[in-house]
Amino acid sequence: MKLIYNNAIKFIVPVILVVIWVILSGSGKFSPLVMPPVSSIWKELVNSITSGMMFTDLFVSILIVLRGYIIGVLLGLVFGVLMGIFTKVNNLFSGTINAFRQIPPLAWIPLLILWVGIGDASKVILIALGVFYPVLLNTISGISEVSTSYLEFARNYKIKKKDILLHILLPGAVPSVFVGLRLGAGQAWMAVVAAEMIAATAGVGYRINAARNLMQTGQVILYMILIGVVGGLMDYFLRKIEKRVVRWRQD
Amino acid sequence: MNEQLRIEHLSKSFLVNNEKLDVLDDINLNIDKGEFISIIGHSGCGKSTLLKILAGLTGYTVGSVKIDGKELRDSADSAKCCMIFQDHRLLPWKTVRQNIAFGLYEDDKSEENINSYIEMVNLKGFENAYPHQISGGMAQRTAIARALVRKPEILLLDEPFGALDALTRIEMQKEVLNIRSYNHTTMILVTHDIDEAIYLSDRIIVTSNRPAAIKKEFKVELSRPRMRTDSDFMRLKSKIFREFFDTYSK
Repeated sequence: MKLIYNNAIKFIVPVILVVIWVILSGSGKFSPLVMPPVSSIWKELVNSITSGMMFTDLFVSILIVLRGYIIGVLLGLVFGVLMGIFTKVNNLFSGTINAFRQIPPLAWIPLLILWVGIGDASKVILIALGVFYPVLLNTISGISEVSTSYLEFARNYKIKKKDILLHILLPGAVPSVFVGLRLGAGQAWMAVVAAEMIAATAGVGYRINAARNLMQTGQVILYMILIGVVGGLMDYFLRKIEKRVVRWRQD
Repeated sequence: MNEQLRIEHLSKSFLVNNEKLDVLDDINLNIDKGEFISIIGHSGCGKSTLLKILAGLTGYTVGSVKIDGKELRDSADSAKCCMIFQDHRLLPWKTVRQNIAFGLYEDDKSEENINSYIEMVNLKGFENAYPHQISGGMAQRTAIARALVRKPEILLLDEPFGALDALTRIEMQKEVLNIRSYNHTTMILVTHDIDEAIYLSDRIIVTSNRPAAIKKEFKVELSRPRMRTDSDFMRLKSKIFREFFDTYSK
């Protein structure tokens, strides 16, 4: 009963939002260009599915997101582990990385287009950049926040450096790494939508921009919802994986 | 009896805000192999620092600490003294069995070997539980097994039952004696529980407040198993109690 209640409570706010939307769009005070009726979103959805356009757009975007995400995660993990363990490596990179981190990934778009063109590469790099920082920072803090009491135990029991790394520092950092992975996934979707608005021939970001140019407000909203759903699903799956990996954790 | 540990003129001080803070003052102590020694003193008096020195977690410059005739600071690489901490410090991402096995050296990670220790600390059936799923007493028993698998020459117990409730404490004290019947490891216990010290020890050392110096030594010559309600037990208890509070009332 409590479970049902907890799940039901999640839907209260979305339902209220839809109700407000229905009231506003039905009031006749707004042009359908500004506030299209809910029914038109449904029509757009059916059209997009039957024409296959939605699947093409999703496929294109997800493929780019996955490529950028994997590259960003790998780089973030490698640098994060090295910087988390070795103070010297941390000192070497932390200043530079902190400076570069202040630059929003989107500000790289002009340079990236000049350097690698308007193809997939520039988008993949942009996403990798957006994913890299949260994964890196959370990996570093995860390692450095492993309780010193475990390290004291390891020192007394003369645990080998290799085993301290593999059995104490890395497992201890895993919960924090997952925070980075989830933040990174959010960044990846933001970056792909922005990148596709600038240069693309398909993809969810491209479609939003194209629909805006054609004044198809319904399609803009449909794709916004789509991005939200796909991003939410990604986060859901990451959380599922996290639960399995960190099942030792106290709830 | 053969002497295993000899501490001579050991003193230790820390620098706190550029001020010298003495924590150990001229400690002299000999411990025989297989002996059970308790050190009783107020919290923060420096007795834990003594254990930390023995555990190799902090250094010493004044005095000498010899285990089997070898100066401790020169043989820091070999694990001779294993510490049992007040918080068990089990790795939360490892099961009971994995935590115990983590204490082992590579060469003797055999199933039977680990099983024998799981049985010794009465944890059969809980091998695959994670630390957060077991009670504080069980966790502390796992920690003891993790230390014993290394076959330490001296087991250092730093208020190991301080975080447990009174009844579990008594269970754990029985358990420690039970373990000792298998395995005659020398044990040094730091505590502020006089009952616990009398129940377990061959000798009890009372320390003065900071800097910790040895104030008085009591030999516990009661036969085992000991009963807390015996008149001899009570007599010794009140003797130590008086010593303890006389020391601090001055």
